Amino acid sequence: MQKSKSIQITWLQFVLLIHGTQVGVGFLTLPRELAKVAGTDGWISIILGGVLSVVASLFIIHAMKRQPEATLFDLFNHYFGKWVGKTASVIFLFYLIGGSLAIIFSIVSILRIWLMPKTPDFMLILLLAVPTYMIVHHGIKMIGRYAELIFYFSLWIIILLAFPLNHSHWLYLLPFIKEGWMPILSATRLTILSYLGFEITFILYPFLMNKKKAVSAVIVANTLTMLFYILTTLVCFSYFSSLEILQYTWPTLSLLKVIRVQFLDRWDVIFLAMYMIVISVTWIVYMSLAVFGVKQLIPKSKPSITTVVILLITLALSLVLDLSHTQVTQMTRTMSNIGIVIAYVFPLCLWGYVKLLEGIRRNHGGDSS
Amino acid sequence: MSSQQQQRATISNNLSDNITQIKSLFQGSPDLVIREFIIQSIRKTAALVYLGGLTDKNSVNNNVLEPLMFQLNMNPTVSISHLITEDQWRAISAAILGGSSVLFVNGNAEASILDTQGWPQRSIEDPQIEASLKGAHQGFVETGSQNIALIRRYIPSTELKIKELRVGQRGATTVSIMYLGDVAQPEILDELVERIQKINVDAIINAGELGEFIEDNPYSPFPQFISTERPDSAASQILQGRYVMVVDGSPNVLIGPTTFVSFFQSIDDYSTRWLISSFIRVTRYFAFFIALFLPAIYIALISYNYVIIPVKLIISIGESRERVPFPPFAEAILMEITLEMLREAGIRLPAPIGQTVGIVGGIVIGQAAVQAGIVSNIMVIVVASTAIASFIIPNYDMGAAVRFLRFPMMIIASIFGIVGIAAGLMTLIIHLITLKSLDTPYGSPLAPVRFTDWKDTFIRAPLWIMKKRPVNAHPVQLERQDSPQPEENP
Repeated sequence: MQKSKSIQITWLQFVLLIHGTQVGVGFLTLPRELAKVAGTDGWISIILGGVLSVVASLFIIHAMKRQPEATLFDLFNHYFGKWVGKTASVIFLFYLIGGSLAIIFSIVSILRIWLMPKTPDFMLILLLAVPTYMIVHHGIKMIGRYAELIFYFSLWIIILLAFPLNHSHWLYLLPFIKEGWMPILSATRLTILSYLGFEITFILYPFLMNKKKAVSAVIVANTLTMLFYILTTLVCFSYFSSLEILQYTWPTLSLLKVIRVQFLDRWDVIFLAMYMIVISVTWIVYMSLAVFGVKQLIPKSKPSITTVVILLITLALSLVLDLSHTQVTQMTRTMSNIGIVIAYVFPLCLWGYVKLLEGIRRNHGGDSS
Repeated sequence: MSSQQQQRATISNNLSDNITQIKSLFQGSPDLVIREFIIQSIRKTAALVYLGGLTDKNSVNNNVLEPLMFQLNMNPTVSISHLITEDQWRAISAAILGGSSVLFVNGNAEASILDTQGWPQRSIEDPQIEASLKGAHQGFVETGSQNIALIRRYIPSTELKIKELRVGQRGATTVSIMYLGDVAQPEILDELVERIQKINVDAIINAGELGEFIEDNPYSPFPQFISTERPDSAASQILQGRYVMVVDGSPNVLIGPTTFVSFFQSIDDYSTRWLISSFIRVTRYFAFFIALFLPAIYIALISYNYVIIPVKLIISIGESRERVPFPPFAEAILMEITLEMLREAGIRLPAPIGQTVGIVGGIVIGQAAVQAGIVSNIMVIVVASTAIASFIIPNYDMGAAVRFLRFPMMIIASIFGIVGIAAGLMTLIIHLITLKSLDTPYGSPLAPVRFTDWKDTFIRAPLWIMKKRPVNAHPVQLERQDSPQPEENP
């Protein structure tokens, strides 16, 4: 019953899609990684990372602004010509598919370690493939609704984080900036990995209902993610000492182990199962954007078939590779490094390129008149 | 016979020709009555044709035959409220099949269709499956026109429009779509009419059949139309900007477009104090999750994720399960299926025998099975709470969907444990998000999130706060009322 038949997403859906894509598996390991590099000052790096990701998002929006109705794939063709554009689109598609695979493999490997060591990977992936298929082929509007609902669904995590506060020692955080700014700055490189996901602005921007609010949307989305990370990190840092935290691969999960009520032990188990639903937003968004991209490149392709193919590839990979957890971590790291290029470096280049083109055109136009 | 019908689409002015024609049309219908007589005043032979069981004999005798046969004034009149003249055989036979009687007069090439319908019908009774404490005690009956009248009594407005459609090649069942002309979204009406017109069947016997032909996703376990036997619920849904489909011959009406949450609303909610009905609503959602997940959680906790349960509790569960020879999944399936059989057996039995089934079943499940060591005490508690929780949902169709979905959840929990339950929940959420009812989102106001509609979702806000109609049905006129909040007197 939409007045215009084209897909549109609301401001809130735009914000929560970005936020949902950003919050992923990294949330479970981030406190340890930060503590390793920057000690208890790691939370400052989160703020710096947040600022960087907002800046990168703003570059994306500025680059997209000239052609508000065009998707990234149209832009590639528009700016780089047919062949370079197609190649760039394919690279971007592979990044999206790779990102979604990396997240599925990571969550499956964590689930296996914590909950079901004897279940083979492909069984779990088969389990997750059914709901993934059900939503991915419906397109961007539906994943917007999903991200929105799951955000409200995920709010209870914050309540859960309040439980360990009884045992926390805030003195662990002092003194601030104990080893100078260098560790904090080098930890920023780590934190920007956790903000990956805002690069979907490239594809989502044309669907935003009110384009003027895009700037506020990316700022709110990144800030939400930042607050979420800071909260978790502070709770972890105040609960574990800076040395103790290094012993736990997933400090956030270990933190929840301490919650005990009369009738339920091991909240980490319940949390992890439910957190799987929260993380699902990340891989579902990446995958459905990939499906959308395939539709853009090959207009005849059917979204449902593309989805099935991607999921079958995932299943086949899990059967063939049989990845260990270390290998999965390695895979995630590689994807993240590609992500940094695509999310932070590429927007800057694109923006510069667009500015340059405009400058040339303006000069050119000036000459001819 | 059909060739004859095609040869002559209109009636002739010769009475005996017409009678032959009608006899051949209605071959093999012994209940067809052809009463030939002479209209005294104009001295012409005439015939009155009707189907015996479908017409009101009193009306035929007193209002049609008596004035025509005995009155001697020049213009004898039949005292029937509704009268049409017609010369098409198609329309005439349809009218006879619909219970009207048709008057043929010799020398006249037009017949009069007299509205003398009167078939056996049930009087209006208390709704059977949707009993209510404070709502009206009138339920729909099997006659469409009466049902329409029952709804009209609540909304005496000229804006209450009715769109009449005929469905079915043989039955030509009348489907009347009722809506508020200045409130309901016309695009939805177009969609609805289009879908109904596409139906090509013999006849529609029940409203549920109609629903199955026009719903958005026939593979979903969830009902996509509210089916109600309460005129007051139907009227309140019309006032919210929705469409009500009255199917002639069915004591249920269909309401669409609907949302998932509307199946958790009952008409009693609005006549009870808002705090209390909000509390009951929250209980219903809680019951929904209990009915859906409790057996699955039992299976997952006992067979996989027992680390979640504290030691003391697991010891007592272990003691209770000591003698049980089955794995938890088999135990749960056994009990749940027994319960479903008991429920199904109880429905169609006469009340006195139904009670016996309940007592026997209850004792067998509650006592003997535990003592015999077939199931554990905890399992009995789980099954009983599940059953009660599933009956709290006010709509039968939604309750049935929940009872059905329990089984896939149990299977998935027996394979994957708590991760399986989480994946099941995820699948359920995704299904509800992507489901549509007449092209409007079924998950509204949860997905897409529409906070303005939350006033009547998890809680039932005070009526003076609900100034706007639900957005989901896309009403043209959103404002519903503007009553002030009752003031507190010092």
